[in-house]
Amino acid sequence: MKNALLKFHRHIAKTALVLTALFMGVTLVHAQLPGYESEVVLAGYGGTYEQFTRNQIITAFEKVTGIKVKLVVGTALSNYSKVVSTKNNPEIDVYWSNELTHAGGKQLGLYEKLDLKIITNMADMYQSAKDPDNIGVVSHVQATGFQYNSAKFKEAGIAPPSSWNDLADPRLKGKVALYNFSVAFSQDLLVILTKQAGGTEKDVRPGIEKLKALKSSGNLAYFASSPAELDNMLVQGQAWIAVNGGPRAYILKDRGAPIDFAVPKEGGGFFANYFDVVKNAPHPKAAQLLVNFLISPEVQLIIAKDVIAAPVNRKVVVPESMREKILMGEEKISKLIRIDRNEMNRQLDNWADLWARELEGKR
Amino acid sequence: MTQAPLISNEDKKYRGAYFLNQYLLLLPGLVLFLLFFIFPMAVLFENSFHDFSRMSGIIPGLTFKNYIKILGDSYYLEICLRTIKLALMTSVTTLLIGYPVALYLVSASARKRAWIILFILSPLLVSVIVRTFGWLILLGSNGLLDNVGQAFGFQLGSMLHTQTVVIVGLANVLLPFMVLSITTSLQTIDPSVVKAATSLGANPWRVFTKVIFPLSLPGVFSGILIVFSLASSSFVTPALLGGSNFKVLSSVIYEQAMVLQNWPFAASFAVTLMVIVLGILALQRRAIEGGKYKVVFH
Amino acid sequence: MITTTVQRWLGAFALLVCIFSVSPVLVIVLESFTATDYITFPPQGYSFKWYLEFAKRSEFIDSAIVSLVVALVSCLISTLIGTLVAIAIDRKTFFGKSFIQALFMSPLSLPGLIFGLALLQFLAGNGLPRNIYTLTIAHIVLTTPFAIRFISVSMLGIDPNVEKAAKSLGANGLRTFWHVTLPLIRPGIAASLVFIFILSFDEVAASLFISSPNAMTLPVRIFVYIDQNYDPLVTSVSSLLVLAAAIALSIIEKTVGMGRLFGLK
Repeated sequence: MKNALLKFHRHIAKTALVLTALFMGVTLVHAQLPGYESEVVLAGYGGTYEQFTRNQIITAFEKVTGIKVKLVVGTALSNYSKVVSTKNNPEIDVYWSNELTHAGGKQLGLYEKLDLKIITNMADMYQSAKDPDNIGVVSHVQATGFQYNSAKFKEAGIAPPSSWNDLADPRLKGKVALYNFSVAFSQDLLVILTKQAGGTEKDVRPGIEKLKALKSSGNLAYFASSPAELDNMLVQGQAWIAVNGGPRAYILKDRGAPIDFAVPKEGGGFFANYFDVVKNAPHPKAAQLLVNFLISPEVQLIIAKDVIAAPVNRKVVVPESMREKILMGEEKISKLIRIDRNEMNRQLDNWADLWARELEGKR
Repeated sequence: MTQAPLISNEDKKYRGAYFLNQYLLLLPGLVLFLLFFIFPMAVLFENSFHDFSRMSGIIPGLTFKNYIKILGDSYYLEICLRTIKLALMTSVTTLLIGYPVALYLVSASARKRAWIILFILSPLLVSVIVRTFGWLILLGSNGLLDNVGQAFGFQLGSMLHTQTVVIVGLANVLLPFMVLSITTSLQTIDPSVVKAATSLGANPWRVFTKVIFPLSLPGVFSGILIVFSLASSSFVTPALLGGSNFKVLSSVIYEQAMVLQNWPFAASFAVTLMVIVLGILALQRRAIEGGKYKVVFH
Repeated sequence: MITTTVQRWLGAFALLVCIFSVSPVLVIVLESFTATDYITFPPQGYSFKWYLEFAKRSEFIDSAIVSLVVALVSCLISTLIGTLVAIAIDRKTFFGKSFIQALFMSPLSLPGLIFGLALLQFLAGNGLPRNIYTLTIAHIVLTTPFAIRFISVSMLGIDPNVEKAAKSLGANGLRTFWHVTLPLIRPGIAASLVFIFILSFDEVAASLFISSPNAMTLPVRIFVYIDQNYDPLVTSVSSLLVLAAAIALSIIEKTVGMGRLFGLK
């Protein structure tokens, strides 16, 4: 046994040396593009988003610039918390935010101004996509509406959902699923339902009451914590209807699942995503280059097609087949229900408390 | 572990390894632990007494606000109780499953024993995320149970997101600790005691209840304590198997810290969890030292 | 101790429990060979495609390297520090000894989750970054108690007469340690190295908080992936962790034996 142990020790020593050398070597590799760092960290979304981000956008960027992209995957909120908590030692360069975290981070001074010398594509963006202080830029716009299982609806003889009140349809008992409150769509739903009841962002109790009624009537039966979980519930037929962004529904539909998307007649929710450059980012120049790449017409088309949302670059040519699914132009976008994000940032914790207690807690 | 030292203090004076003052030897470890263990715990403890706002971060000025919120809010109290209940039920489950295995282990042949040790202990070397993911696959949609059910015409769907499933997963992960604990205890039982009881005419059941089980109590208690504290602080298993419909203290800690950035609130939950675990430890100490089985523990 | 019929029943029960014990791990390894694009068990069709996919994903390869490096450095440094501490503790009582012993053992009774949270808040509050160095330090703190335990137990078994003899032959403290004590505690050191390596490689709870985009361990990467996706990719990644466990198991079995490692006779 003694020999075995001696050999073992020698093996360990050798492997340790090799790996330490490797490790040191890896960290000393230099940039490829002169003047730009050798890598950049992007915080983006998971599920289908992760797939097209990696396979199409990142592969193309790495090919063109030689800069390696590290993708951090999470929800808008969990990535935001990473940006906030590491603000003294930022780990993320470009953060794909939503309206809420864009507004919040801007207020907290977490983001850098965009360098228009590098971001030449800004000239082609819709005016409404630009930020008045040139902090961040819109990536795409989508509507919040109903993701529903069209096969189940047809079977049960129910017409496709067309109003926010349809959630309370008694035929949908036990068939309504929602994200839990940490996902933006449920946060927005709360405000939308409040506004439907005549209220404002200042007091969302009307919205909570509507949701409570949904729960006590037995309609609202499921809470999902991730897109994958919600998608699963709808595809399996456990739930028939959920409140989600259009993209997720269309992606499943294209895959052959019996899922469809409907925008309520009162108006869907306005939901925009932004690209923000983090202040004191570890790779500042590569970050600006990446943002420029992300708002180029080619990538805007990729995002628009894969997310199935409206691009905001004037130069994008959307193929005929997709024009209906994708909102285009100022007119359609103006019909969507907008939310006061600053008020939302102020009150979000209270709303989370209310939601957890009145809705999820009672389970 | 209170046992007579194998080497007397007198001998230790001549301990060969007497080079360097012991404080010098301890220095690297002490510096490491001071900087990266004691200080962080102090920061955590202190943070729990601060208020927080999304707009301005951690607010200076000490307050009990977080603890008042936890204790006064039925939602959070329910989560604390749920965590305790989960940990208790997991302890009982592992006890019921593990005790017979431990009994078999001490009485089986060496070869059989080697196999059982292998199967029961080797999963400890696999990360908890892998073991829990395995349960996710077994019990989720299109999992083993679901597919078997479908073959018989039942649409079971996913069995997840209930307390039962979390207990199954936790019991699976923590079983080795219970088996280890009870086995070490059973191994200290002098077989002649058991022989004596049998020769005095006691039937196997009486031998078990009056002799074997009481003598194994130290192991049972320490097993329950270990499983309870590990179950109550477990994060991965309740998160994956329980989902957002089954929140426990560790889920709240993670959510508050990583999603909502409210570190002070998260810290106060962390302290609460530690209090619960230490509380059970204290309760057990009292039960051991004061109870009727006092004799067994000394 | 027990009658044969009872023994038979216990044996059958123990067998079932053994199956219960290893089933999740088996399921993962089996599923990693599925030919389907989604998770279904039993797997349908057999293919290596998910291993090929794993090899294509640079983020998983990076994490595997991070886990490997962190585990290696942790086991070496933990064992080193643990040995120094064990030597000091092995001596007769000195001022503060019981406090120091309790201090070094305390990470054992602290949930990894809470330690991770505490360390995160400490780092951020003092302007320190999260990177592979702080990650490694976290792992060292968590695993040092094990090193101390293994080596202390090993030292307890040393016959003091051996060391006395060396001293009487004229060897000073250091020589005695190097040539007499050290070889005798080799089993403890070996056990410490292997066990801490696998402990660090598997660690999830604390690493969840201390991982950063550039330094994310494999278990954390798997957890993050499962949170957002549900496909067979991570089963092949998880199989790598099972492989590491299997290697550690074989080393442990060849040297000290699993039972003895955990304190069974």
